[in-house]
Formats: sequence, structure tokens, C-alpha cells
Amino acid sequence: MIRVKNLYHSYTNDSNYAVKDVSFEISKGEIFGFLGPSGAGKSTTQKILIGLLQLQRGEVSIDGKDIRNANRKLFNSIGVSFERANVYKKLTGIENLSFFAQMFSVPTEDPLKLLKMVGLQDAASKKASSYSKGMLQRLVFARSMINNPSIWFLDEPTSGLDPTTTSVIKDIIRNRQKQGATVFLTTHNMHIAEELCDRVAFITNGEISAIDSPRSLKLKYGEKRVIVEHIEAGELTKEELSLTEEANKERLSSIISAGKIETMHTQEASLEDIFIKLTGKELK
Amino acid sequence: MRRLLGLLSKDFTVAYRNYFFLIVFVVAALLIAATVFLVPEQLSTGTGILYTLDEVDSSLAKPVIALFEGHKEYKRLDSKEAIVEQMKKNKNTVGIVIYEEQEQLRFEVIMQGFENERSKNAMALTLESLANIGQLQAESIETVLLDKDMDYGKIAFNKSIVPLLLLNEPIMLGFIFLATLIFMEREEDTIKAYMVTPGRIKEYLLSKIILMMVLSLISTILITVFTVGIDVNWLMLIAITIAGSWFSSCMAMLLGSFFDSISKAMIWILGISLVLSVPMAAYFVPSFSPAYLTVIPTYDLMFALREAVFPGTNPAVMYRSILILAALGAIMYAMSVLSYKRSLARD
Repeated sequence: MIRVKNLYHSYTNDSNYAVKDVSFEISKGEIFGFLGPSGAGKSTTQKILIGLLQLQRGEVSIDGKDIRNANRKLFNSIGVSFERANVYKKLTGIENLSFFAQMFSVPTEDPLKLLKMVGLQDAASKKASSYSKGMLQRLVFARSMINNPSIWFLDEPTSGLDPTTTSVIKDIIRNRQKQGATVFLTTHNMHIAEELCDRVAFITNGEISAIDSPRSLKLKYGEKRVIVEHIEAGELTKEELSLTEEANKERLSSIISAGKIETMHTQEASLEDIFIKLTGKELK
Repeated sequence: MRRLLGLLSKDFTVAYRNYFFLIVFVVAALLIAATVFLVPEQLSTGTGILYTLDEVDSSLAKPVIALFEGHKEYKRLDSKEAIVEQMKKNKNTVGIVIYEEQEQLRFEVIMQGFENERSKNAMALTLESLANIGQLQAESIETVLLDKDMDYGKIAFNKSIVPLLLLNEPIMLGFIFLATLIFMEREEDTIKAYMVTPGRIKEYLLSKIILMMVLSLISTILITVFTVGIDVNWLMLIAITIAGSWFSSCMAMLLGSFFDSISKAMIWILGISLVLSVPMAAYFVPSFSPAYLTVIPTYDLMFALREAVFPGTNPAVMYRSILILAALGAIMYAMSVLSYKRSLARD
């Protein structure tokens, strides 16, 4: 559905690249997470994909169409939820959605239905200038669904939202995926990515360092460990042991043989741990 | 078409909620009230001349007295003292004492003290010619009127300034309005949301231009009807207003594409507004037409508006102005579309 090959972009038109040799493919119906810290090149890549930045070097095709030659009608099948709450503050929530509905030449969703989905039905007739940050974020998210997009770009869709609303947003994304939407999710929130994404790409300094499913990444790069609480010499002892290192494996066998285990938990590396391990950077 | 209607609906709503329409109505009402009730119908800017005859042979002074009596600005008093007393009361006067010396007319000029050298010289030359009035051959000076029907002097002063109001209020105010609207949307970053729809930049900008044209027309019609009346060349007045609004809107859009906030652009907005206003200096003195003034598009526009409001016999200025404004607007519109695409890529 989305194909990116050897993508480069420089804001200064020199070899100082914000995005460097980025390649990936996203299948139809897939949720693809694009993960990285601020300034890593996530937004630049997304802006090129949605046409807000000119393609300088490389190849990008969406739904089989080269974006260099794409007609603006392509946007009828694309939805974009921006991280910044870029809505008309002088218009109400429903006026914002109704306006954007008129910009598409395909059947659109009922604006009120979308506002209900994100819990803004009571504020539908209020001016956006009176909305809180979280409400604005939900309005932007709702707006991105107005044209029933089959390709959906989400930039930090849960930023600034409370856990309950975050859960609602995640459910909506999953439901859209079930209906066949392809999702390009840009985030630095590893928990969201881990829960939603079929595959993720790690990007730092404009370059992709890994692309795989969260599970595969964890299996490939995460160290399997176990935490054991057991009685030894009459006292409760807690130990964290690797399941791959020989000495630790022998120690675990001896603890099990002794038969005095109180608790034992396997420890999986989080996606964030893998990211730090692969890129040497934290997600901020 | 559906998209353009959607954009128009949005822009008109945003303009209404930003009080653009209210501002247009209020400013138009204030200008109408000032024009009708405050600005005088007749305005005299001439200097009054107070004169007296001091022991002059009546036959020698007769031609001069006859000349003075033909002008209402000239007033004869009994003595030099009376002149000085009157001059102290009215600072817009000069005095002349006419006396005789060796059978020749002589003049003593009494001035207020603030007159510049040019005025003093002009007065001296005038009096010198009066002293030799018997040798002056008026028939040697022939005045040719290129347009005998054109007599703007018959128009009441308060009505004669209406074309200036029409130039300043709807067109220049439109420039400020559009700049405000553009920068407000830039700060909201809504253009990015629009650019990920099938909508095009040219439709986005066109909608705003149409809004400004409507605001300009409302203002023009209100001011014209309530000051001059309905006896104007409406077709041309509307066409010129649309052309003027198109020009100023396109200029504001082009300017808006180079800056990301109104505070950064303010110096340019004010500077350009000032330059566009400069031709007003030539409104009451059409003979003052240096090239640097006439190249400013508002110069022709100003006289085109006057021609439409007070139909005369110079329709050429209207057609010329419409064509020039339409062409300049089209160039700036095309540049704006390109510039917006570039500025979006910069952000």
C-alpha cells in the first residue's frame, strides 16, 4: 500500500540529511509504527508521504501511485491526524468537520457521529477556541476520519490524552484496521506502538536501524531473564538471572533443585529497552 | 465548485466572527457621518487681502480697484490701522496699503510674519504687475480648456472627497483584513490540514479574495449611496472596486506568504499601505503628477473611482485602471500560489 525506497531529504539542500536512505513497505491493512525520538526524521518522512514536503530523492508510492505524479484526488483516500491541533479556532467542532467534509469528493462520515466516537458530542456546537488541549487532539483525530480513509497517517494520536480516552482511540484504530485501513503511526510512545503495531521501524538521526514486529524484535534483541525469590540459609533471597548465560542457567537449576522457591517471573525486554539497545538513544 | 463554496462558507463565518463585517459597517457609518455632517460643502483655502487707499489719485487707482472689487477675497478698509486690527483677528490675511509717489502707484505689503519666501515673492510679482496694470495685455493670454464639460469644481467639497474614501476604506482596509486573516490561519496551521485534502492552494486563496471583494463592495455601496447618492456609474464603480480589491488582496496574499506572523509582516503592511496612499496627495492637484506617483497603481485607481462616482468624459482612466489592476493582481495571484507551496515546504 505504501512503498518507500532510498528516501533522502535535506532542508538545506546539501548533504546534511534529515532523512537518509530510508526504505520500507507497508501492506494493506497493516499498522506500521514509525518510532523515534524528537528530531529523528519521523515527521519529515510523514510530511513527504502526505505531500507537505517535496520529494527530493528516492521513490515513494502510495496505493501503487508514484507521489511525484499523483493527482490531488489521491487525498480522497488519505486521512491525516496531526500532532499539532491545527483546527479553525473560530469554528465549532462540528463546523470544523463539516468544512473538511466538503473538501473531499468521496462520501464522507457524519461529523456528529465522529464527534460522538471521540467523546466530543457535548462540545460539538462550542467554538474550538474553548476546547482543552485533549479535546483539540480528539477533534483533529476525528477530522482525520471524515473521508473514511483507507490510508491513515497518525502523528502522536494519543498525545496529551488521559488513559480512558487513549483506550478509546486505540479501539478506534484497531476497528479501522479490521475494516481494512492501512495505518502509518508516528510516535515516540513505545507502549502504544507495542499494543497496536503489526510492525515497527526504529528511526534515529534520519536513518532506520531496525524494522520488524515488536515480538520479533524482542525475541531477537531482548535478553530473556528470570527473577526468582527463594529461601536460602533461612532468609528470603531475590535474584535476577539470565536464561541464556551458562553460569546463570546452572544457578537457576540449583535453586529449582533446592525446592525453596517462593516466586519466579520471567522478564521480557520492553520495546523501549530494545530501542535503546539498538540506537543508543532514549525516546524523548 | 463544492469545495469553493465550502471555503467561502468557512471564510465568511470566520470573518463574521472576527467582526470584519461589523468593522466595515461601523467604519463606513463613521465616514458617512463625517462626510455629511463634519466636512464643509464649501472650503476656502485662499488668503484674504485687506487693502486701503492712502491719498491716491482716483483715476490712477481705478484699474486696480476695479480688479480688486471683482474678487470676494479682497476687502477694502478705511485705514492702515484698520487693516492691522483685522489682520490680528484673522491670521489668514495679508494687507496692502496703496499710495501714490511721483504719479506712480506704490504698495506697502503687511504680512503676518509666518509667510514663506515663495509667498512673498508671488505677492511682489503680483503687485509689480498691478503697478503697471495699464500695460498689461490680458488678451495676449489665452486659456484653452481640453475638456469643457469637466468641472469638478462644481462638486461640493464634502462629496468630492468620496473617491478618496472609496480608495482608502474598502481597498486599503481589505489589504489589512486579508493580511490579518492569512496570518491568523498561519498561526493556527490550518493550511496544512487543508493541503492533505484534494483542495488546491488556488481555491484556498480565491475564496479569501472573494470575501474581500464582498466586504469592499458593501463598504463602497454604503459610502456612495449615503454621501453622493445613487446617480453614479454603478457598473464601472463596482467593476473598479472589484479590480481594486483583487489587486490589494493579491498583494496582501503575496506578502503573507513571506512571513509566518503578523508582527513580522507589520512593518511591510504599514509601509505598503503608506506607498499605496501616496497618490492621494495628487487628488486635489491633478497637475502634480510626477512619474514616481503615477506608476503607483492607486494613482489611476483614485481617478477612476472619481470618474465612476462623478461621471465625466474621461472613461479611459477607468478602463485603464481596471486592466492594470487586473493584470497586476493576476501576476501576484500566480506568484502567491507558488510562494505558498514553497512556504509550506519550508515549515
